[in-house]
Amino acid sequence: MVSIRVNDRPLDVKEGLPLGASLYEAGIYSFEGSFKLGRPRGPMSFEWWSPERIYVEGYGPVSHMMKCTDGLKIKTSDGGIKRPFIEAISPLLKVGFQHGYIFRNKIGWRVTWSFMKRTLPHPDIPSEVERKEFPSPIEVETDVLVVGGGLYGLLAAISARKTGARVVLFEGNEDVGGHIFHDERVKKLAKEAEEAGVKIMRETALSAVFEDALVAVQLKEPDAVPILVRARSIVIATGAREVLSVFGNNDLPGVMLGTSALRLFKLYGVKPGRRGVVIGSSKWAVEIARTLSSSGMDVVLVHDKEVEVEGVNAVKARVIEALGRRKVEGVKLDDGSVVKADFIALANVRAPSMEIAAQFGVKIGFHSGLGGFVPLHGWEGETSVEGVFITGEAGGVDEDEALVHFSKAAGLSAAKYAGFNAPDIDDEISEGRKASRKMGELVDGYKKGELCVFDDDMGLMQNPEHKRSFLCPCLDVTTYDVKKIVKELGWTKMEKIKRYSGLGTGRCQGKYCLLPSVVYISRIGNVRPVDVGTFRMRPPLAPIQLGVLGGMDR
Amino acid sequence: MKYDVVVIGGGVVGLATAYNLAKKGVKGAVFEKGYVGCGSSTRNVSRFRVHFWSEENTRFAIESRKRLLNLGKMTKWNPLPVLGGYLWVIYDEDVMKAYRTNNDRMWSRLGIAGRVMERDEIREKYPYLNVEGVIGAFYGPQDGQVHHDFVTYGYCSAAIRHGFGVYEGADVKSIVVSGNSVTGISVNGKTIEAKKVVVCAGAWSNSILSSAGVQLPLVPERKELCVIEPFKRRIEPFIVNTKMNFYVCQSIRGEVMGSIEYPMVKGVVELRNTLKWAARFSRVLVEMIPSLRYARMMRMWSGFYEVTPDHSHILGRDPDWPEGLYVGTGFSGHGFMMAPFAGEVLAENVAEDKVHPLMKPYLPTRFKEGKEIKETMVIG
Repeated sequence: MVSIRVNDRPLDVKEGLPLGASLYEAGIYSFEGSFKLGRPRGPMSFEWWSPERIYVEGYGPVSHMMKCTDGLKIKTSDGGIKRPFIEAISPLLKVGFQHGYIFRNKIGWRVTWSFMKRTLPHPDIPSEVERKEFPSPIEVETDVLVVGGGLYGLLAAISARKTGARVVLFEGNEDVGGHIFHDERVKKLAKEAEEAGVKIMRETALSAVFEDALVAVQLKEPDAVPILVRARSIVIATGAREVLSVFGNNDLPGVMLGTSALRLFKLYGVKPGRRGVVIGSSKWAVEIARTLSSSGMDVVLVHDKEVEVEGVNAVKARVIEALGRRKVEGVKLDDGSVVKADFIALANVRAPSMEIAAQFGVKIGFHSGLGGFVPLHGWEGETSVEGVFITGEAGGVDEDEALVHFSKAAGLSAAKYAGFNAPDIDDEISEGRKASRKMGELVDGYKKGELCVFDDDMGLMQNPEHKRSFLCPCLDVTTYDVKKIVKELGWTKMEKIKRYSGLGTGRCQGKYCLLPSVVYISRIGNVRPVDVGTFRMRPPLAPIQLGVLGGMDR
Repeated sequence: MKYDVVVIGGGVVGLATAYNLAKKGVKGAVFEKGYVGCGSSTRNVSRFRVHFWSEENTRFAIESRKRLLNLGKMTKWNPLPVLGGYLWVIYDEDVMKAYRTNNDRMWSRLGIAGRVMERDEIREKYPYLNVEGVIGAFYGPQDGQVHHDFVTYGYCSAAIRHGFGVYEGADVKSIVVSGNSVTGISVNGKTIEAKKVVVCAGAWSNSILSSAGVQLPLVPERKELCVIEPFKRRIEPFIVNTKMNFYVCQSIRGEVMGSIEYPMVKGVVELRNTLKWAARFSRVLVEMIPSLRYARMMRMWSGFYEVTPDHSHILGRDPDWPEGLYVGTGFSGHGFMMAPFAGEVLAENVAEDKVHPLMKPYLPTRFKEGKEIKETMVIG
């Protein structure tokens, strides 16, 4: 146990546990007040890329991954006394409120600005930060780089390694496995990979694809180390992640991504709560519900489509809103019933993490059966960008068995591209094709250069009609705000909506908000998701400390 | 359909021109290749200043600033003006002398005097700034910031309200010239007739103008910039490091933004980012504001400056050009702050053939006549 101070009160926490999990365990669910409405905002995920920040004296805002050490001084906020006042005037604060006459005229704007300036909920620039040398970059040179150490990344790495190629694998989290980090299978595979000579680098993430370099970061909070990468070919196996589902008060502390709820409990030993609701109609949602309930939590699965729910408590319904003021206290369903719960795990959809692929310039299509936005690729994982291969859930969330075959094939074709003799992969591909559900449509799209299949809202639109249904929790953009833009201005392009409302420009850079927003806009604007488009995916993947980048100036 | 005037380029300059033309009752339309503002208008840090090294630019900027601050009334979109000032941090006696001289000689005469700050005052007012090596600073209180998107979209909606057409996704391939006058433009394979054509296509101007046999002396330069995670609003002025050609500022939402002039990439290249830039920028920023060492860069992007030999814009027409061809381009990075006045005088020039006295120095003929403007204050 170590002793830290939170808001000037002492708190004993487990040594070496990440800060985010420690605070959550201690019952501090809100880290800061939200941007516009001053609502409490807690951790929505516990991944290496999580956008939540915790203010630590001497550093400023840090990632939740910083380990607890003795004497850390932390400041948190839950929106504070400002909140009732803002709630009262919030009807005035709809998106674009600043263009209304009372705010537009000179005096109105001056008053508003002086109020805004003083009440911004952001952390202050720290007054004193220790000055030290910039870390010098590590150089990594390899034949094949595999990005992502989930099941499929490991499989691709092993098969590439068997050709004799040097293989390096980056995994952002503390341990490999991706969303099934707790599965014995991946632990075995990781061991096999390392014995075969794959260099696995944990807590390392490929972050920025620059014109003149490829940069990864070794995520040692707060002093990360930059890595300059040179690789002949790259396999992107970044997997998929859950996104925000849209229902009332979906920003309340206690609402978190399904994988993160598992991570919190299985990896850090912190229970997300006593009673929980898992929202989703997939096998993965059932799996989460089953794992959590077998650990002694009282879990209800809320699903809106038919799914095999054996062994879990399940209700077929849609979620109207989360109840509670400072934290989730219950969930109201569309059949009028209320389920008591102190956390909500979101597992509606696993959306491919396509940001790195998009940074490379790979074309992005849309397929609601494969998880939404998905990078276009061929059967071997090849893309329109030379030397860049995509596999696993990052290339579309298909049947597990198919992806196993495809990832082996992608590893081999990446090795082949790097100049190694790879055995024939036709068998792997035809096996994969037999097991696959939808990948054929994606590959057809790759050949045509366009893909848009949108026949399902993927369970994301639970209840967009609630006045506090957030699309973008970073900047407090609700469905009401976006509806106003679409209806009044007639805009349906994501880039323009982003410029008007700020949607997607917060710390998550679209990881939580992109998919639900695009689905919502396509629905109310009656346009195809690919026409709404994504915002341009720019480096870095997750925000990088200036001190880390500064170390690479030569 | 025949237009009186078509404007090529739906950036802030093109839209400001369109708005002013529309107010004069001219029938016309704007054609934009991508979406409104997708070029440089929404990629800048949205600052304006009145302090320029040449008197012509200073006078022009003073007029432009007045219009920018009153834009809310004209367009019904709030440009969110905040007068945070500009702070040029100076590391060199000679540079300091030059600022003092210019201030005494020209700026104070034009009523926009700023003041010199000593090192101690800087330390007291901006405690986060590292003043090592700093000998002082020059502060311009009349300069400030607006919201670039709202200015651009404001002009757009005001132009539409006054009857102008604005077409997005309209890729203008060429200007149609017959005899010695323009007769229209070719858009997405269709010809649209027009009596006059105004090219406001920023970095892409020359590729359009070449179809009319005109070339301007402008070179696109790619500039990169970034936004850092938000903090409480502390960096009130726009801080320029005069030694490193670096700037940093804070948006009204609190995000820290900035850039450095490095590396130099010329031509219409892909708008990507480089590690060279990101690393140099981060190092200089942390040296200047050491407490931002653990602040995180959220997003980088890049955009073009279309740079002329004298770092000043080109407005109007050359009598040697085909009849009816006008330009409003070459802003060298100042297009956003100059647009309100540039649009006004250019519209006057196009519609009524008048040349405003303040526009005279910016005619395209100045390069062959050797009357270039002496402007060296480019950054920011």
